[in-house]
Amino acid sequence: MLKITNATKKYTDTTDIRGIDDVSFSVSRGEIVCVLGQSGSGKSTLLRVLAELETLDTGTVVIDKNNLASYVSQDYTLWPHLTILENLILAPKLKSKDQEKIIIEEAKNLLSRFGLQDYANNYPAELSGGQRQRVALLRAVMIKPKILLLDEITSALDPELTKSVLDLIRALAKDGYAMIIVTHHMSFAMSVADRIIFLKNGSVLQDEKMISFFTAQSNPEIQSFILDIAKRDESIEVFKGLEQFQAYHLGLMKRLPENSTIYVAGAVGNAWYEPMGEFYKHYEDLRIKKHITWKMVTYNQGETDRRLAKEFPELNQFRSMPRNIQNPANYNVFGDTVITQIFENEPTIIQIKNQSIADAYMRFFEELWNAGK
Amino acid sequence: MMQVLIQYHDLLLQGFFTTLKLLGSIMLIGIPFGILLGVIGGRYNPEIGKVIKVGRFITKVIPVLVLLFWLHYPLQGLLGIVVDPFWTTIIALGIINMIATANVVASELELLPKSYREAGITLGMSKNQVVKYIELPLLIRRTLPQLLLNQASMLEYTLFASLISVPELFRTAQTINAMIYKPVEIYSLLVLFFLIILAPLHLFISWFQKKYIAKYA
Repeated sequence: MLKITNATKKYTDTTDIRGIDDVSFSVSRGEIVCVLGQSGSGKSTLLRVLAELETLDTGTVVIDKNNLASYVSQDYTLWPHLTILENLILAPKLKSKDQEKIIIEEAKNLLSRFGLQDYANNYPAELSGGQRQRVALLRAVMIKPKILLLDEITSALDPELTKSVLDLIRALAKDGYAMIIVTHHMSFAMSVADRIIFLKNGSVLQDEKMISFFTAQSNPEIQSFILDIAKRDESIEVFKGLEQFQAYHLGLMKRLPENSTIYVAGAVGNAWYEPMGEFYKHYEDLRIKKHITWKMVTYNQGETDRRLAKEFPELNQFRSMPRNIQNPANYNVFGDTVITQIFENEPTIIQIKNQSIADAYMRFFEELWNAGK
Repeated sequence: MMQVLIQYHDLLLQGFFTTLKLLGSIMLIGIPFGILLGVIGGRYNPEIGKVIKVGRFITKVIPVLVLLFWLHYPLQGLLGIVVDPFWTTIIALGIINMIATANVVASELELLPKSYREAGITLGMSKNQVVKYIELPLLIRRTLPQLLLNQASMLEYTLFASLISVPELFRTAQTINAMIYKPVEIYSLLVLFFLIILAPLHLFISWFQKKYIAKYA
């Protein structure tokens, strides 16, 4: 649907050279790709190139025929002299002059669907930042694109308004639009993305399935980036260091209700038991007492795993990761919570409390479980 | 006052028409050429944009009256030519108006967020459509009050033409006063004239700014 090949675009800022350098990837129909990276890594340039707002120095961007791409930026780009309805209909009306009535009807329906119908005759200055960005998104949808290019569209909004915009993107994602989204909201990326592209100095450092990117990240630089954005995300908590790691798991055992289940994807041997150290015994006693089940798809089982499976088979259901698995994963799901863990150097837990993310990760777990042995 | 008006209406009308001709000519030079220069300087050629800024600075720091006198006496003396003071006034104020207009247009064009244009382009609008439906309406809303204020200033500047013997309204009033010495009536008539012309203009500008600038531009 969209293919960018060896794309390079450089421009000199006041202090350094920015842009993108030899970027190649493709996006399929309905696929949602989030672009992450430090500030100045070329994310916005990439989207501007795809939106044809910048011309490439070298390389190509090919978008299939009839697949329009529509771009929304972080600035409030609604035209201030036009009402909300006029903002929505101007571009499509100029394209199909004889269909004005139908276009107006479509715009009104779209506004109604997303609770903005009361603002149709208001001017942008009379709306909140979040409402304006939602309208900007709907305006982009009005030209019936197949691909939406969204550049940090929530960066200027407070958390409450951000939520309303992200909810709208989720709803549009369900409508089947392919999207390339530049964002710094980790939980949002986790809840909508199929793939993550990580840019560094304008080049693609990693192009990975979303679940693998966040839960089985081996690149220390990206791990540190993930921790950094996780700290800024309201629905994410980071527990760093041995003490916090142990306290988190013991606390979890205490607060989980009896007979509940922890779903674990991608466990690796003794990697988890080691940082738990002497506290593991206490953890295990509590788990057995509360009858909490581990349902686990493992890369390989450690000694403790094998013992547990033997002693308490009903509480320790293990399957091996299918051999053909291409995208590694390592996460736990319980209720509305997903945790992913880093074991290298300082053991770290990233906890995401979000039902839709937990549901998505559960679905992936089920796939692994069913394919596992 | 009515008596003066009736008795000297021919003279006053002549003065009034001379003022109108001056103002009309100044606007005719200043507005279209100023807009053209402003668009070039604000959008296409930053060097011209800088020239406009320098020009605006010079015409701001040199009093209009000094400039007018300089053009009327020393410059013409240096060049060995004699230009009718009516035309000297038109050239001087026309250039000042042109630079002021260009400065307003260029500044507003620079301030107009690029993202408005980009939004139009990415939604499939042509460049001409973007200019016609987005940039031009916004630019008109943003520049109109200042452009009208400039024209009000130009009307006031035409009074200086009386000092280089242009028989405009003020000069006519002075001439009539020299003949009959009724300063209260004559100058009250002038006050009334400017009130009638300029008060509605200023009220309109305030209304326009409230309606369009604060909220919609």
